[in-house]
This record gives sequence, C-alpha cells and structure tokens, in this order.
Amino acid sequence: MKNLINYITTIIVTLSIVSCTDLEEQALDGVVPTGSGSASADLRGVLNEVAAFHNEWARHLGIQEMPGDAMAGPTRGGDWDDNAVLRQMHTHTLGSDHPWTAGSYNIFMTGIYKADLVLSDSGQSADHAAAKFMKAYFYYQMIDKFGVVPYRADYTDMTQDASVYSRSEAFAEAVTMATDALSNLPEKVDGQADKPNKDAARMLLAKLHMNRAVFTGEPGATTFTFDAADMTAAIDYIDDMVSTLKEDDSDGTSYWFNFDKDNDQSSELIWALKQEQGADDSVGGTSYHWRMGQHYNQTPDGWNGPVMLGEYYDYFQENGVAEGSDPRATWSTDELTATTGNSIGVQRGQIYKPGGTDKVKDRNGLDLVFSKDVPLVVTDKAAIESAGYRIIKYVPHNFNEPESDMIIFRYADALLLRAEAALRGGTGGDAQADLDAVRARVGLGSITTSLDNVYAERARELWFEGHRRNDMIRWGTFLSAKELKSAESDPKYLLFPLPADALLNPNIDQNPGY
Amino acid sequence: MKNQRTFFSFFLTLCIVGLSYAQSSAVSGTVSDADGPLPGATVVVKGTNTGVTTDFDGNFSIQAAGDDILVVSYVGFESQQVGVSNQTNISVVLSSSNELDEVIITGYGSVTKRDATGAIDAISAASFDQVSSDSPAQLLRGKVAGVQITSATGEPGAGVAIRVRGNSSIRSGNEPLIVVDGVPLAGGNTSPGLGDEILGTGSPKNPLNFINQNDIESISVLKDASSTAIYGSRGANGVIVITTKKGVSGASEPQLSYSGSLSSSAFAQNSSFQDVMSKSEFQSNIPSDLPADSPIPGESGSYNWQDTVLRNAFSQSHDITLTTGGENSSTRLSVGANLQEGIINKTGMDKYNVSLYNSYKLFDGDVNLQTRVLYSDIDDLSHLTTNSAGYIGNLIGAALYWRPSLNTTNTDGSYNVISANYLNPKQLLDSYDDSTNTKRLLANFNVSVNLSDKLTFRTIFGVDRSTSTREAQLLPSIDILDTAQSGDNRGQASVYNDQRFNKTFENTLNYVDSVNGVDIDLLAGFSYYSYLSEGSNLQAKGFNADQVDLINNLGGVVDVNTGYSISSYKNETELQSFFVRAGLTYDKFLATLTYRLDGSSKFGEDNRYGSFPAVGLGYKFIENQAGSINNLKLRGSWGITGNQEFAVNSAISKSRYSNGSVSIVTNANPDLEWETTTSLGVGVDFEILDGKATGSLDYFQRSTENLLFPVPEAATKPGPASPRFVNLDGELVNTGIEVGLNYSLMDSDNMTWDVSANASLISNEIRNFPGFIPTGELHGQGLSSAYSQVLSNNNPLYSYYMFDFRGYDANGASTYTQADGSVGPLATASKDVLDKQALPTMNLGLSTSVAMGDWSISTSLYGSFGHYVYNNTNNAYFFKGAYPVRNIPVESAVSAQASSDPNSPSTKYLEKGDFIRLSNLRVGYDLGDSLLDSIGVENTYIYVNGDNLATFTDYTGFDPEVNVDKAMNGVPSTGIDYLPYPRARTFTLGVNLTF
Repeated sequence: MKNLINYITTIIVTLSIVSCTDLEEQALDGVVPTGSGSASADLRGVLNEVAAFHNEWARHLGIQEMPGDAMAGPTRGGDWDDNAVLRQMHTHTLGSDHPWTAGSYNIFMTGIYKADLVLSDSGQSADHAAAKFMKAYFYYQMIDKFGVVPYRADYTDMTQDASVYSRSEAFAEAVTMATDALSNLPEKVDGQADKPNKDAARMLLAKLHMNRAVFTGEPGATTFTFDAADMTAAIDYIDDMVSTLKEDDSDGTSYWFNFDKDNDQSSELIWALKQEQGADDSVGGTSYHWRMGQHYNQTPDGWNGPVMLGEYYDYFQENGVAEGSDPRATWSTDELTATTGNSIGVQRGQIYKPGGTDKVKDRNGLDLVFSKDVPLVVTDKAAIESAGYRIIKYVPHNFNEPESDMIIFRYADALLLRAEAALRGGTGGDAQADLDAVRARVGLGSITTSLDNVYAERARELWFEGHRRNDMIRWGTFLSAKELKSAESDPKYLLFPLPADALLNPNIDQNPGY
Repeated sequence: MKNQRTFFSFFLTLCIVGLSYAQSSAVSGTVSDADGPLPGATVVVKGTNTGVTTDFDGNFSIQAAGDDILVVSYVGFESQQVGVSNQTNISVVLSSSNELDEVIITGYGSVTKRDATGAIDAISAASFDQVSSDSPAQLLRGKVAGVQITSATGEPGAGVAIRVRGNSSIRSGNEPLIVVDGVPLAGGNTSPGLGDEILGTGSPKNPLNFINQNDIESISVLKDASSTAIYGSRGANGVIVITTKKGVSGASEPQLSYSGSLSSSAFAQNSSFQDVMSKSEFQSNIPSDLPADSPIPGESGSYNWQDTVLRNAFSQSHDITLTTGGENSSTRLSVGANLQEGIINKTGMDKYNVSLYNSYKLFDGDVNLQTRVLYSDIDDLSHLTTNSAGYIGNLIGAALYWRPSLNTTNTDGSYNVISANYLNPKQLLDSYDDSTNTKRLLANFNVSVNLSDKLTFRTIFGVDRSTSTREAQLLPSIDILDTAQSGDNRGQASVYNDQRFNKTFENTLNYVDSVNGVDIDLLAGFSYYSYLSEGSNLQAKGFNADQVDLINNLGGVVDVNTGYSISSYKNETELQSFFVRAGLTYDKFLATLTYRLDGSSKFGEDNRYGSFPAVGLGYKFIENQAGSINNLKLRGSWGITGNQEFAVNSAISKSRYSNGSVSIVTNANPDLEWETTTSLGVGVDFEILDGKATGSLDYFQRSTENLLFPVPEAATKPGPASPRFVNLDGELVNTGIEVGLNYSLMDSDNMTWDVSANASLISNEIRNFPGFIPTGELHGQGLSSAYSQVLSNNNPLYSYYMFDFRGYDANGASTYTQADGSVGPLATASKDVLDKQALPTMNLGLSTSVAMGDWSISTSLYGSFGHYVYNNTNNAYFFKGAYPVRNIPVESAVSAQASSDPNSPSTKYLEKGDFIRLSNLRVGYDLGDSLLDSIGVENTYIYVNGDNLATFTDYTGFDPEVNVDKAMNGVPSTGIDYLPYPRARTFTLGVNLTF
C-alpha cells in the first residue's frame, strides 16, 4: 500500500514539475509588434489627425476662437452647461481637466507619432516631405497651445517615458522640419490645395517667424519684442508664394467663394482638407460651422449653441462702414434664401424658414430673433434660445453631405501677415498695398496702415477661422477684459494647461501657474 | 526558475521527513457534530503533546496506546474525553457551545476563531437571511464587520461590489478573491454587458450568481494579510471562501429533503423617495407662461409609470436534495430551480442548478477522493436599464418623463408616438428584448493521501467552464433619435458570446506534529492556474421595417455593406505559485508564518514573480476562565499581499488589425510589477459574561503602493492612441476599526434569543499621488463632458468635484460658491474638490433571532453612513426647466428654481447616502412530523419571510444603496445613481420538508 501511495505521489509531483510554465505572455488576439512594423501608418493617417483637430468645432474653434473675444458658448437653461467647459474657456478659468485642450493635445501628439511612422518607412519616401510638413504643423500647434513638446529619441520605444523639448527647443525643431519640407515639397497647383505644398510650408514658416517672440520669449511675458529679421523672413516667405487672392469682386462673391461648395477651385486656398462626398481622399468636415449655432428649428437645423459676441461684431462697422455693408459679415443670395430662408455670415434678428417669408419660432413658441446681447448664462426665459448672434462661415449646401474643403491656410491671411510684418519692422513689405488688397476685394476703401488696423482687419477677414487667440496674444490683448470677462486674466492663460493625464509622465511639468 | 527548484527541494524534503515519521498503532476516527463532520477539531492524547486536527471530513488519525485517553477538544463545543480501549476506529459527536469555537474554513485549512491569528469571520447556512439569494455575496450583507456589499441596482442578479476593508486600488480590481471549495475563481465577469448600441451601455450580471444558496454550507471572510497572504498576489482585497455542503459521513439511510418557496415582489419605495407627479399634480402646477399653442395643458390622457413599466413579480424556488452515506463514501446531490421575475416587465432570472458531492475512502481511509460538481444554467432577461443614457433616456428615464396626461396607446391600439427623443415608455418596453444564457460548470477532484499519521498530501484539480450568450434586439418600428443605420432603416440586433475556461491544479503537503510542547502545522504547496477568456460579438443594424424577429434573422439588414459590425477577442493568464505556511502553538502563544511566491504571465518579463510574506501572532491572556471575562486573545498581523486584477496583455505591446490596417492597442512595460498592499492589524477576540457574549475588536491599516494604472494616452505621447500600464507613485491608505459582537440574551430550554451586531469605521486617502483622475461620468441633457468624482492627492477615493450650490437667489437662479468663497452666480462659480466622498465611512449590521418552542423569528438590519450619493437622475431629468414637457417630482416643480436656471452639476444633486434598512424578517414554525407523516415526511418547517421591508433614509432617489457603473476611461466610480433598476420588496412563503 505504501508503494502505491509513493507511486501516486511521484506521479503528482512529476505532474507538478511538468506543469511548470515560464509564464510567457501571449497575445492571442493580436500580434506583439516588433519595432514600428506592426503599426501601419500612411500619409492619410497623419492627415486624419489634422482633420481630427480642424473638423471638430470644440477644438478648431473651441480652443482657438472661444478663448478670445469673438466667440462664446452661453448656457441656455438645461442646454449647454456641459460641465462649464464653454464658460471656462471663454473666461480663462479652465484647468488641466478641460476636455477640449486635452483632446487637442492627444491629436497633435498622435499626429507627430504617425508622421514618424511614415518618415521611418523608406517605402513611403515619396510622402516624406508631406509627413515632415505635417509634423512641423503639429509642432507649431503644440508650441502655440501648450509650449512644450514631448519627444522620444527612438520614437518606437514606448517603454520609456518621453523626454520634453522646451518651447524654444521645439521651435527650433519646427523651423528645421518646415524648412526641410519646403525644399522637398512640390509647388502648389490651384485646385489641389489639399496636397501639402511649398506655399503651405512657406505659410507655416511665416507663422513661426511672426510668432517667434511669443514662442521663445520668457514664460509669462505679456508683451513681446519682435525681431526685424523674423519679420523680414516672414515677408520673404510670403513673397515667394504662388497663391493669389481671388479676383476683386466687390460684392463679396469672391470672398464667399472660398467657403462655398467648389472652394477647392479657389486660387486663395493654400492648404485645406478635401471634402468631397464619396471620394476616398475626402477628410474634411465643415458642416459644424452651420450646425453649432443654428437653432433647432432652423434649416439646416443645428444645436443652438455658440455665438459671435457683439463687441467682435462691431469690428464690421468701423471706419464708417454701415452695418450690413461689409459683405464678409452678411452674405445673401436667392439660392440661400430659398434653401435656408436667411442670409449667412453673422445671423441676427428675425430668422425665417426656407423661402424667407415665414418666421421661425423657438421651442417655446416665440419668434426666433437672434439678439446681440448675450450673457454667459442666459437666465431670461424669453431669450434662452435666441440670445446671441449666430455664425455661418461655410455656405450651406447639401446639408447632410457638404463638399466645401475645410481651410487651414488661405492667402488673405498671408497678405495680412505680410502687412503686419512690415509694420513690425520687416523689410521688403508694403503694408498699405496688402491691407488695401484685402479690403478692395470686398468693395471697401483704403484705411491707414497701423498695427491696430491690421488687427481689426484680421478680425473682419478671418473671423471664425481659428486665428483669433494667436493674434490676440501677439497683439498683447489676449488677457484683457472683454465683453463677458470683466477682469484682466492671469498671464498663465497665455498657454493652456497640459492635460492632467500627461503629467503621469514624470518628465513633464505642468505649465507655470496651473 | 531558481526559486522554483528551491521550492521543490523543500517539497520533496518534506516528503522524506514525513515518511520517516510513519509509525504503527494508529487510531483513526471521525469527529462530528449534529450537522455532520467537523473539520479542524483537535484530538490530543491526554497528558502528552501529541495532537492532530481533523480533516475536511472530520477524520483524524493519531498515534495512541491502547490505554490512552483522547481529548477531543473543539472548544466552544463541549470537549469530550474518550478512552481508546484498544479500538482502532473511534467516532466522537460533539455538541456545540459558542462562537469562538466554530470552525472557519480558511485558505488551505481551517481554524477556530479561538486559535486564529488573523482577522477572519464566517457565517454558516443557519444565519443566512435570504430565502434564495441571487448570489452568495448578498448573504454576507450586514453580517460581517469590515465587509461591505453593495448591489449596483435592484435588478435580479445585478452586479455586486464586495469590499473587504475598503478599496485597495485606484482602478477597478477591488473585488476579493473568491475561493469555492478550494478552487480560486478567476476575477471578472462571466456574462457579457451591453455595448453602447441603443440607449447607453449595460452592465454584466454578477458572476457569482451561479452558486445556489441551498448548496452553501458556510462563507468565510479572510480580512487581513495573516490570513490572505497564502493567496499572495490575489489576497490584497481579502478572500472569501465558500464551502458547499457535503454528504453525511458514516453509513446512514439516504435522506431526501425538499425546500420550496413562493414569493411576491413589488417596488420598494424608501422613506424619502420623491416620485414624479401624478396627473392631478402635474396639471395643477403647469406654469402660466406656456406658449398659447402648447398642447400640454389640454391633454386628457392618463399614464402612471409604475403601472406601465413595473409589476408585482412572482417567483418560485424549489430545491431537492438527496444525501447518502456508506461505510467509505458519502454523497450529496441537489437539484434546484429558482425562477425569479423582476419587478420591471420582461425582466427576471431563471436559474437551474445541479450540484454533486461525493467522497470515497480507499485503503482504510488513507486515501480520500472527493468530487464536487456545481453546474448552473441561468437565463437572464433584461431591459434597457442602461447606465449611460442621454437626454432621450433609457426605459426608466422614458417611464419617468412621459407626461401623466398622455396616453401610451391610441384608441385603435397603436402607440401614441410623440417624437424620436420623447419616447413612449410602453412602446420602448414592448420593442426591446434582451436575454442572456449563462452556463457554468465548476468541478473539482480532490485527492488526499495520508502519507503517515502526520503527513498528508492533497491534490486538487478543478475546471471552471462558462459559456454565455447575450441576445438583444430593438424593433425597427420604434424611432429613437440617432439609432437608425441610415434613413429609415431602423432596428438593431446584438449577439454577444463570452466563454471562460479556467483550470486549477494545486498540490499541498501538510505536516502536523507536536514537538517539545510546540504544536506544529506545516503546509507547503504548489499551484498552477490558467484562465482563458474569449468571446465575440455581432451587431446588426438597419432592418426591414416590418421585421419583428431580428435575432433569429440577422440577414434581414437592408444594407449588408454597412449593417454589420463584428469583433472578437481571446486571452489567457497563467499563474504559478509556491507557498509555505507554518502554524505554531506553544501554550498560550500562537504564531502563523506565511510566504507565497507568485508568478503571473500578466506582469512584465522583468518582474514575473512577486513574494508575499505575512506574520500573525496571538497570545491568549485569558483562556477558559469562569466569570466576567472567559477568554481573551490579543492578535497582531503584518503582511504583504498583491493584486493582479487588471487587463490581460497589459505588460506587453500588442497590435490588432482593423479595417485593413494594424495599430498598437497597448504599450509594453517590461517592468510592470505587482501592486502591493502592506497590511498591519491588531485585534482582540473575547468571550465574556460567562460565555454569553463573544466578539472581536480590530484595528487595521492597509497601504497600497506601486499603484497599477493604465496611464491614458496623454502620458505616453508621442505615441499611438493607446494606454500603457504602469506602477504609479503614491499610496492608497485605508484605516479602520471593526467590532463584532454576539450576545446570547436568553438561553433556556424553551427559549433562546441571540443578537449579533457588527460595526466598522473606515477612512481612506490617496497620498503622494501625481495624478488628477476624473471618474463618475454624468449623462443627460446639458451634461456633455461632465463628471463628478476625482482621484487626487491627499483626498479620499471618489471625492466629489463640482460646484458648491448655495441656494436660489430672488430670481430663482442657482447661486454657488465663488473662488473667493463668496456666493455668486453660475457664470463665475468656482469648482473645488469637496470634503464629501462616495464611500461609506461607517457600516453597521444587526441580526437577532428568537426561538421559542416550535416558533422561530429572526430579523436583520444593516446600514451605511458618512457618504454621499450623486443623484444623476435628478440632475439630468428633474430640474424645473424640463417641466412641463417632461414630468418631474412635485418638489422640483414647485421649487424656487427659475425654469430658465441651468442644471449645472453641483452639490444641489449631492445627497447624503446614510440609510438603515430592515433587510429581513422571518417567522418560522416547525411542524415536526405531525402534519405529513402519513406521506413519509419526517419533518415539516414552514415560514414567512420578508426581504427589504423598510429603508430609512433622507435620500430622495429610488434607493440609497446604489452603485450604477459610471466609470470614466475605465476608472470606476462609486455611489452614483442614474436611472437604475428599482429595488424590490419581497414576501415569501416557504416550506422545508425532510423525508
């Protein structure tokens, strides 16, 4: 019997030993990547990240326009409280948990990673210049919004925490990358502004130089000394461009052509996201431009959200221009009246149904009259749904399947930058000529050249195109009191806080003051 | 591997040492009590230090001379002295006396409370409250100090959060290890949840539902490191040991018994519940400034949400048990059916169980084979009581907001359809079906071999196989905003499959001896576990408009190119462990030393193994004295335990294919290591007042470090949009005090009255922590991106983070605390981490039972205090501006709030969660054999039982005991109420028959 027991014991002990495992973990429903080989990326993947930023109103406009003086998102009763994120953005009270800045951060940084995947693949060498350009663009965005840029010497080694480029280091990297891209990209061809091109690289370099004082200045500085050499560099880059302003057409037709269905044909577009229904390379999305502010009962229907502030709207009435006379603020065609009932641009006053005669009522049965006055929290029951001017920058058409390309850079922006550069000490520019060109195109007369006038002209020309925050910082007005913010903000708000999650990388320090 | 070899040398050495002790003149036997065999009873040869404890079946074998006297002490039971008188087989039956001597099954053994060095507790079948609980977890509710049981909602079979001495992890993975008959179960669910397909996501059911209450003999809770370190890497959250019933031992007549019950359940409103308005309330409060053309004031229909959606649910439960024993074998077979209707129409849980226990002795009892099989087949019917519904609501949301002046059906029988975002609750109820079938087999084969009278070898091989399929469909005939595949192609069907196959293989050697007055109990073992999980799901959208059977005709989608989405997964975890434990007793001094070396495939290749030591010490200051203090033992413990409940494939980098491309879904961390919890505890076990009262008092501190956390992508940038598991800096510290007391108020021949009470105080704090991690996501109108709780430095887990509501101003606008502390409007309100959190800081339980003649009455109460519940339902649905388009409670309709005031998340919706619940009252009568003797019934016991009879609270929602899953980025939340399945009050009439 003992023998039997020993026998059993031996078997079981042997089994125990045999059953010993090395505990090597298996990926049963995937593959364990080796180097970059198991993550596929192509230029489209990089472009998708650009689109992820610009196609989302809460990012493209939410973090570039709403912190400035143009845009606010009022809370309307039970709608649009959204955990206070809109109010925080406008009044500079946001913290590291803000979802829009955190989301943008992830997009920029994912774009940088995907660009690296393309750049490391010799099989995709034809796309390297474009990938490098877009990587430089993400760097520009990171420098502008967050200051620092995390990086890895070996970008595939995810086992190590990323190191961090300071704002100045990141700036130098961005200039190097954009310069390199410029020499390898093709010249822009009209009608193909969706392809990264030399003009786009020139624009990026011009913007980097225009903002160098901001990007490499002392942290917390609120005024900046612009180096004449940077201004001259910006002028030179813009001088080299092959893009042209769409022809002079003083009723606004050529201005609005940039935002209409076939805007890909505009010579003014420098870089844009293609939007064409059914096309494989379509990545753009512009419909939020009319959805976000439009009332639920409007055509096309919308979300009844953000507004243009009255203070900003008043830029259109400067220099003796009567209200409604700047076609950039109000654009009306028979077709628009027939399909939407209203003019576009800045929508104000009574809103009509398609055809333009029947009034639209709000959900409380009141006439829908968009008013100029708007508080951050609308408490007047009658004004809950109607407070605030609404904005439509892209011309509504095929409401569910729009085709207008989403503009990132366009030539009017370049002209106004060149005017600004000349006024900030650059040589080779003609500020008066550039300013006049932009104004004459919409039938407005010449005004004196001054930084203030360029600033105001940028507000009128480039409204809700995502430039305002950057402009206001450069002009030193970003922190100032404004219509819905009574006090000067802390200088820390010149940069957004890094997302709280990013700080779980021990190499990353929160931006000063947050 | 080096460690492994060392262990095997030790293992084999033990074998040799053990064999050398083998000697002749063994006396064997069985110790039992009235209910069956007594594991862990002590048998000592009088006047010597030779002693053994009985095994799981009450068997013992001891060296003794023919004229020796055996002292069978099982203190708490009346001890007995038995002369050997040259017998070789002795059976001893002990009668029980008190709590200190109840045997508690622990990890790889058993112990009495009297001799325990760790903090352990147990409840046995006799003190189970419920008649037929959904899961064993509910049986522990309010019964054990330091254990908190929270059902997510009132849904039959809903997930249950079990917390032993608090939360030890900042991510998910706070559930204790569950060990069933020696087989440690895999963590995680065994049934699929519901993806966010229709009106929010749905939670999976409780994986413990598979055990039939009728099969449970006892449930032990191991709370401190001294008792859980034997489970090493999985012991940090405590261990719950479930032991199922056995057959009778020794030759006996087969015994057949039946227990059956019928129950009726209905919606249980707590004492402060604020219901939505009745039709008359609704119409009398309609504001005067409605647009002239508003149809609402003129509506003349009628509707009551409770009548439409809820029902009086009827349930029945039947169990048949056969036990039989032979000279060398013992068998128990039970079959159970528990058919439970939910109080929401079209919901419920039908559970069928079969369990088999068989033991067989060979070679004069030197080899003992035990087989246990638990099989269950559960059909769950669910509805859209989802946890993340938006403005449109889920079933509960639609039921509540539908105006009481609107009919749900038109006179022609068709549904009264208002709009795609104002859903007809009757139509929604009828249009959705959701059933889950889960089959689970837990079987183990257990061999113990007495290598000598002091050395026992035991091996256990267990398999745990579950298969679950969830099928849900929403008819194309209902129009819900944003759910159409395209145009008017509506209707959705989902099929989820989930399978688990887990294997357990464990070998232990147990050596028991007494040397120079020191009782020694040595255990060494090796374990191997494999946990395999796989599943798939298919979504089909956009069916033909008149199709009604979607699930069984998935091909009916209109556009086959876009109408389907599919996914599947598979993963496996392996663990391998070596462990030793030494229990030493010298006079009044007790010591337990434990060490476990655990390896898991989940960890980084550089940190596969972790070691988990623990020490427990005890000293009996007073032992078995008469008078006011009869027994007093001081014990202390220190130890390190681990936690490995997190996603598989977290340490390695993994890529997956999707739509023709491949991308990285997790980032590697070869250094990923165990999250370790260091526990320190001191406690006192006592018996006082001439044995009338027993109890324990404990203090503990648990500190968890190397916090395992999937850092979100922002922390790993630049990189793919995927997280990476790391060990974060910081500590999570839980500190608490627990008291448990049992008191025999009366103990006479014709009446006994026992009271037991427990209380625990607990606090926790996160320290030295770099993160600010949001959770407690809120949903509903105007609540995009809103969340309510954070995990942050120097704050308790799940601290609320929101505006501080300070009342309404003269215009009815909400005011809030501003950055400078003043009171001001919403626009400038300032948010802060509040000194309010979601975890109760005090839990109480009280049970009492009275037996008088043939009558018995028992009742239980429990309560939780010190925490806050966030009422997301109120926040999203019950603000004044929602009315009169939607129904709201009258309290909201007549409040000072202006109808234009936003429903910004704030302390307005944060309510104290304190409650006391009368959870159970049972009256039973023992008819003996008087009634049904003629048909062979030896004994008849009938009872009436009430569950969840009353809840005393200030909370205004359905129920303060609520924990709807509002996790954010995978970080769990606690204590948030959002459109949950309401809780039921249940009355049961039952009978137990013994043939």
